[in-house]
Amino acid sequence: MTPADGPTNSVTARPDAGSFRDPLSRVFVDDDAVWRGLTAAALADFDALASSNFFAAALERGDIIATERVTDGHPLPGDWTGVLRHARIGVLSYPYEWSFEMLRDAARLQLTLTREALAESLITKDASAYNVQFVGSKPVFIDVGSFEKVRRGEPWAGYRQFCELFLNPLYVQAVRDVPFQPLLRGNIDGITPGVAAAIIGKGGRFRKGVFTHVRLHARAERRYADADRERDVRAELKRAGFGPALIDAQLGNLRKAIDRLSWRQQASTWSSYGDRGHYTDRDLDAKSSFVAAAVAAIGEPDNVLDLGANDGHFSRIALDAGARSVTAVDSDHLVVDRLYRQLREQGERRILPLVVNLADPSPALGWRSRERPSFVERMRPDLVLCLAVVHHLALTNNVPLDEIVALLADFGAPVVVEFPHRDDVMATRLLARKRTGLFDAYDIADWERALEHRFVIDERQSLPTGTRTIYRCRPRG
Amino acid sequence: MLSYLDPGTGSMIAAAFAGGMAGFGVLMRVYGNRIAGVFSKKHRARAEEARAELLGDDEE
Repeated sequence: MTPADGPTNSVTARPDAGSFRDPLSRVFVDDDAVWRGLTAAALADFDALASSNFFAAALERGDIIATERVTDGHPLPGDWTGVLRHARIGVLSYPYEWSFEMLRDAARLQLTLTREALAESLITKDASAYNVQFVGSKPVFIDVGSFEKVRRGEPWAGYRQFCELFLNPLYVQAVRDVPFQPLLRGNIDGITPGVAAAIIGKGGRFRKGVFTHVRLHARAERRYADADRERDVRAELKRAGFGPALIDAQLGNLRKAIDRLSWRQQASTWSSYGDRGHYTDRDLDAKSSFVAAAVAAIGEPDNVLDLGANDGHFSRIALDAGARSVTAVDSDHLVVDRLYRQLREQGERRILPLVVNLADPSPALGWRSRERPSFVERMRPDLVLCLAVVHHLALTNNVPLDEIVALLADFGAPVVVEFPHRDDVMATRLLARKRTGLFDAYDIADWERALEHRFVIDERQSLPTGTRTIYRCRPRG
Repeated sequence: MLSYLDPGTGSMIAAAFAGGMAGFGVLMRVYGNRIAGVFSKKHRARAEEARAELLGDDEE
């Protein structure tokens, strides 16, 4: 697209660094909205989409991001035949931060929409897990530019991508108990059929769909990697007719494979943490009131970031105290998965649970390291909760106290943080594994010095057990 | 006009398999049981069966 400004528009939107793969449309963002510039071909597809019944229904259900056609001026650079405005997603998250069940629900959404589109002679031109975002705990399809008119005789172009970014990650976790998050973070295109087949090995022989979608897929890819041989097979396949009936059967088959997956949930280190055996009820009550008061002091924060959220206890306290939404992060994907299922069951959509290891949060990824911004860049909370976390970062991950404070300061928001003293039962347990003298700096005086270097402490309270202190503080100038 | 994603021949063949009977129909029209037979004895047999069924269907 040539960057020539429209005649009457003032250009304020900037191109989104994650949207460049499909040449037919381009996403821009400004402070108010997300915009999509459409070429003539993309506009024709959008017109077909806009007149379909399934699109209206999906918008109504909230399955597709709220979208409207803009005809009276727009802030986009470039010449576009049509312009769309989308609602903004509060907190962006990526598949390597989702739990098993979240990825499964995202996959279901992709398949449902593709099937519904197909019934009205439309189809999705791709099937990237990055086309789905979570608004709280509800998956929402954001790539309206993905819908196009079906071309007879052509296969579903998104099949391979669907396998790489949805199906194979789910398979490796369900069949082999290999967490998919590090694999997706390691490759923005996902897990190829060949890699999935190697990981799954013989273990998945009897799982629904493993033979076709993984093993046979990998084998066919190897066999037809040779371009010359490729050409005539493809032409013949097309002549034989990849009709919509075949694509629909394929989508139905994928849906069954995904629905039948089960991941043997093993007890993980943290999964019984929700019982909170090592807290006295008094400490929990005192912490809960402290958190509620901190939220109320801000008013109605748009977003609270709950670090080390575990079963979401404090995330819910924050909601009850007036927060509009909470991002609940934990490093344990099993714990996050459990929280997500619980939220889904309860219909509580204001909490977005994410798998993030604070000692190694998601970096910026993709083209020029700009396609997918880092976790810290994406989080702009109004309040950060950091409860029962500091001692783990300091004593398990060996992160110096001033570095822990620096991470908290990166979020640019007030913080509620808890510090377990050296004689706290959990801290003692962690310190017992260290050589005497090596972690003498783990001390309340050093901690407060580090905290006050970057934050102003507004309130400090010793918890009833006497071995932990909780702080409410705000960033210095 | 093609999509911006290249479906890939291997994926197209896997997609046909994933399409159940409809997919077998396509594969049979292209290749008989040649493609299917590449993969395993079991699939050669399955492909043969599918073809038998499909030959009936195709004479419409």
